[in-house]
This record gives sequence, C-alpha cells and structure tokens, in this order.
Amino acid sequence: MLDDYGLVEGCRRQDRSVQRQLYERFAGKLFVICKRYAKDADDAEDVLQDAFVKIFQHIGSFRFECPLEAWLKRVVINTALKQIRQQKPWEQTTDIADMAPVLGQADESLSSLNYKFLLQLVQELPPGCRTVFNLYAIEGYNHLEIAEMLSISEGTSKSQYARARQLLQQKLQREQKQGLPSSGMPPIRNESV
Amino acid sequence: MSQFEQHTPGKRPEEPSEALWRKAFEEASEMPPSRVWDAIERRLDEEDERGIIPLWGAVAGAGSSAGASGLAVVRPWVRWSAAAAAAVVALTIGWWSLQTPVTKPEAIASLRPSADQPASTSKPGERINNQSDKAGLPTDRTASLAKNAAANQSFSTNRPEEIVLANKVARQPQVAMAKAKSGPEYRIEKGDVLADLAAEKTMQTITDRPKGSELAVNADRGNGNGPVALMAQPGMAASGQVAVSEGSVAPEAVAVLSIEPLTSRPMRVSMYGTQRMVWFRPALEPIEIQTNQPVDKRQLWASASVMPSSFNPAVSLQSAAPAGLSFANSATKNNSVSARQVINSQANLSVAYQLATGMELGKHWTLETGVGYLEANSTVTSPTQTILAALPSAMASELRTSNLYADVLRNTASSVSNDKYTQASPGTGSFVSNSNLYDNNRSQKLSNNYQFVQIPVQVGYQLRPRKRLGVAMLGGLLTNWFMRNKVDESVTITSSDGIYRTVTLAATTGLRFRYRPTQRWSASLAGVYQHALQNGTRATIDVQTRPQTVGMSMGVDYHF
Repeated sequence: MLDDYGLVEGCRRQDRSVQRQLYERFAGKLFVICKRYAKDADDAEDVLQDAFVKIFQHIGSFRFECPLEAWLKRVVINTALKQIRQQKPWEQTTDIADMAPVLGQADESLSSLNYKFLLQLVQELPPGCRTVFNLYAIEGYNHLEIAEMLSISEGTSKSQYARARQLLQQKLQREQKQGLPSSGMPPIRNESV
Repeated sequence: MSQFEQHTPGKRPEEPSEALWRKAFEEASEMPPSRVWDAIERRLDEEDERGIIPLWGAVAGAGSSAGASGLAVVRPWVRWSAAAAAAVVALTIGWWSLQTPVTKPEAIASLRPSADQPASTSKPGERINNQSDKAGLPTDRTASLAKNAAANQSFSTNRPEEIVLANKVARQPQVAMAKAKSGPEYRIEKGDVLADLAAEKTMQTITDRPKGSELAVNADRGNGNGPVALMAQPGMAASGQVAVSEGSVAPEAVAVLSIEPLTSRPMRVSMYGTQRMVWFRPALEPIEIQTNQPVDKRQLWASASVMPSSFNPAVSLQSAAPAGLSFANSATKNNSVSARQVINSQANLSVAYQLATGMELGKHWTLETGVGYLEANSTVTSPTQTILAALPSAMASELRTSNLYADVLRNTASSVSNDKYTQASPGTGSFVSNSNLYDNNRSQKLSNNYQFVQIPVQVGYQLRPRKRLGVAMLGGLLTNWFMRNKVDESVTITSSDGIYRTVTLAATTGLRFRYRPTQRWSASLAGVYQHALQNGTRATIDVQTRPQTVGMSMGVDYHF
C-alpha cells in the first residue's frame, strides 16, 4: 500500500495502477462530498468523474504543503461549485431578516442521525441553500470566503444559509413527529469497497 | 498563499449544530459505482491519445514540479499554435518552391582539354587572345572579373607545379577539380606562368567565351600556403577559362583552363523526410451556390390564376333617338325623341382565367404579361314597347314586345335574327300600334354574356421584395379582344357584326399579396380593378359600353 507520497509520484508518472489506488482510497469520501453538492446521484458521479480527471491532470502541482486529502476535497468542491455557479441557484434569495428567528436553534437530534439521512436532508435543500450550507456548516468556510468562492455577496450567503437552516429544522421537526430513524439506525460507517 | 491556506477554511466561531453536521459527514464514505472509474480511465486514455509533445513542455495544469513527467499533455492553444506555425512554414516553402525557376541540370563544369584549345598555359597570351575572339565578351568586363577573382583566389606555393582548384560553391561531383596530377595538360609550369606574367605585367583579359566562362585564378600573394581557388562568376558560368589576375611580383600564376559551360545549378528542394513534393491542383467543379434567398439574377415566374369578379359593361345610349332604330310611324319617332330613353346595366358575377408570366426588372420592379379569358355576365335594363301585330295575332291577343337595347343591337347587326324581338316592319300598315313608345316604366332586363380574350401588360412595384410574404402594386394596360356577346341567350353578337370593337384597351391596377413558402412555388391573392379606356362599341353604334371589372384574383406561381 503506497503512502501519499507514493501515490502522488505514481500519478505524476501517469501510472494507471497507482491512479487506481488513489481513486480507491479517496473516492468514497469524495463521492459523499459530491452527493452533498449535487442534486442527485447521477450529478454526483459526473462531478466525481470530472474531479478525478482534474486531479490526475494537475497532480503535478501538488507540493505537499497540505494534506493530500484536503487538496483532493478542495478539487472536488471546486468542481462541484463550478457546475453550481453555472446554474446560479441563488438568484432568488430571501432577506436575512426573515430568517433571523430561526437562527441559533440547535439541532439536538443530529448526533444520533445516520449520515445518509442527513445527506438526504441536505440533498432536498434548494441548490443555493445546499451549497452555502455545505460550505459554511460542514466545510467550515465563513460567509466572506463563500461569497468569494461563489461570486455572490456576503449577505446572499448569509440568507441562503439561514434559509437552509430553516428548511432543515422544519424537515427535522417533521421527521421527529413521524419518528426519526435516529437511534435505531446503524452508526456512520465506512462503506468503502 | 500556501496550499494549506488555500485548501483550508478560515478560522471562525463554530456553532454546536455545525460541529454535529461536520462530525456526521466527517468519516462518511460511499464508494461510487464502478462505471465512474471506467469513465475516468477512458477519459484519461483519451487525454493520452491526444497530442503529447515531449519537448515542447506545454504545461498541463500546474504540473511544474520537479517530479513531474517530461511528457506534458498539450493544451489546445499549443496545438493550434503548432498547427499554425506548421502551416506558415509549409506555405512559405511552397511559395518559395513555386517562385524558384527550375533549370535543366547540367554539368557545371568539366575540365577537359579540347583539340583546338591546348590546355597548357605556357602561352597564355596566345590562349587568351584566341578565346577572346571566340567569346566576344568585352575585354574590360572580363578584366574586371579577373580582378574580382583575384581577390578571392589563393595559390599554393608549396606545390608550384600544380594548381589545385577548389570550388567551394559548387560541391557537386560534376564540378571538376583541376589538379595538375590529373593530366599533363593541366600542369602549369611555374616558370611559364611567371614568364607570362612578366611578359604581360598586367592581367590580360580572357574574353569571348560564353557568358560566365571565366574562371579566374589568382595567386594569393599574402597567403602563400592557401589553396588555390577558382571563382566562377555568377551568371557567367559557361565554358570556363581561367583569368589570371595581374601580379607584378612573383609568385603568381595564371591558369587558363578549358571547362564546360558552367550553368546555373538547379535548386534542389530537399524536404525533410520528403523526397518529392507534387503540387497538384485538381480541376474544381464550379460551385453552385444554393441559398434560400433569391440571387440577384432576374427572376422569372409563370402563374395561373382565376379571378371571380364583378363585370359591369356600363351600357348606355349615345342619343335619345337611336339612329338605327326604325319606328312604326312618324308619331312614334316624335314621341320617342321627346322622352329620353335610358338603358342601365348591372354587374353580375364573372370569371376570368389567366396564364401569365413575369420578370423582375430590378429589386422592386416587375413586368408581367399573359393571356386570359373573361366570361363576363351582366344584366341590361332597357325600355320596351308593345306592338300589336297583325290582326289575326291581335285577335289571338298575341302581343309582341320590342326592347330598345335589343332593337338597337339587332338593327345594327345584319345577321341577327330574333323573332322575339323582331320589330314591326315600318310602313306595312299591317299592324296597329297601341303604344309606339319605348316606355321607361316598362323596362325589361336582358342578360348579357360577354366573352373576351385578354392580354394584360402591367408593371409591378414590390413593396416587400424577396420576402416570403410579398406585396406588390400593379398597374398597366389590358387589351380586350371581343369574342361575342350573347344577349338573353337568344341574340349572339360576334365581332364580325360590326357592333363591338374588336380590340379595346383598359387600364388595370391592383394590389397583390404573394406568399412564397418555397423557392419555386408561391400563391398570389390580388385585388384588381379594370376600367375600359375606350368605348366598347363602334362610334356609329348608339349603344355605348365601358366595362368595369372589380375582382379578386387567386393564383399559383412557379418561379424559375
């Protein structure tokens, strides 16, 4: 099993077997990221495909100044954002004031939820909200960074995030009434083949 | 910005719920279907198959690290740039090849003695003079050539008995290198040369050889060890002679050599990797441009149309007492004069059929003509008079009605035979007329059925030229050839009866809409108004008619 250095060097040599190893090691996590940003599984596969082609083409620029996984995630996110930017899903934004009352409400029940259920909730968000929510809540970017990444205003990013939170809470509350698949669900596990 | 900063989100306070979300997805993994890797591999293979230029270093992405492969995937602009550069080079070479005149390859020079030209230079003066006579070149020019050559020649003093000729320009095997060892006739004794030089002191011109025949050899005084070289004058390469430059001080040598005419060398185009390049231009078929828009040539079309119309002959009487009308007695005539008779006509449905052709005179103007057939119906209202015929008839209450319009036509037309409208013979006294007057109040309607052959000639102005839906204003003349007029299905008047003019002119105008969905076919709808410019009857006829037609023409057109 090659380490990160070996993988990168092998990919630079365009060694197909090494490329396959890198793919198999990171494709699972990266595919989940793609599914968080894409509207469905087919789009996620397309994003992952494009991202890996870019990765193998540009692997020579990776200088080990950050973890390889972080670099790969960033390539995948950028690839997903490139497609999202073309769709301009945040043209219809909601005023941030409308979202203020729902901000700050904690999602106490998240800790017991399976990621697939959460992923389903995220995928059901509108594209603009979903993107900003992914970038802010999961990836950890601030609104200024998100605004730069998506070429939108910081206010738009905030309003999209607030809208996403509101929708997620509504969905969670609705699911709680119907009986959440929470504790009974299997824990998060790595499904890498 | 380092890669770490670039790929790591900035620090910010984190809400508890965000941490939960992040934790939920932190280790989430879901292997994509195998088709994703297959697609990636396929795309990578395609990338590899696309141009890889090992040496050009077209950096793919940011693959500039030291460990990157020397092979780089070519970016599109590099590929295009390379193609453009190759095209420029190819065109340049091609142009240069075409511009370069090709001459027959000939032996540039060969050194051989001839029977009448001794190769020995022991008597250069004589040799020079002989050759000058043959060549006919100006002496002064040859001298200058020799002087020029002198500056470029060298003479080997190490072997004074030999003259080594080296032609650095022509490196073909055909270029003869004159060496003294190759034959005694080329050996130039130093003593002879020096003697000759001493005798002549200055350079004597070798003339009268074909152009370019001079080959000057000069001893290089400054470089005694240098090789002796021959310099062929450009453009004067013919049979060679060696013009020897002057040299007042030894060592100098003059060699006169007989060589073959030195012709210009053919340029040998040697393409790298290509031994022969054939410039072939196949005969091109003339390209026929087909567009949806009509081209600027004159458009022709033919059309067939039918025009339902309203035809009104506008029949009227020329005078109150028609000249051709005979009355039963004088009282009748007097009474008829006193009361003006009126004939009216009403329009009925008529149909005109037309075959026409047209031509575009320009972008807007058109000229159209054709031939048509008009079957026109109308109704004429005419006063009548009732005639009591012969007594037996009167006893039988057999009354005869005389119609003014029909009477006029019948009396004019000699061949008309109409029992119904037969006028009582004047002066017979065989009948009693109760009412000898044409009474306007007792009018009678007679149907008229005209038949004309029409030849229109009209000019059109297209308001929307070459549009799918075109609009054109039409105006012109219409020639009506009168065929016949059948009155009330019983009186038939033809052109030979002398009532109607055979040919009359009418003005026609209209507005036409033409829809042309295809290049060849179109449909037309036109509103037409026609008005006769002449009286339709002859001047001697009391009945006048100036037909008017208002109709709507519908047709199809075929455009050539």
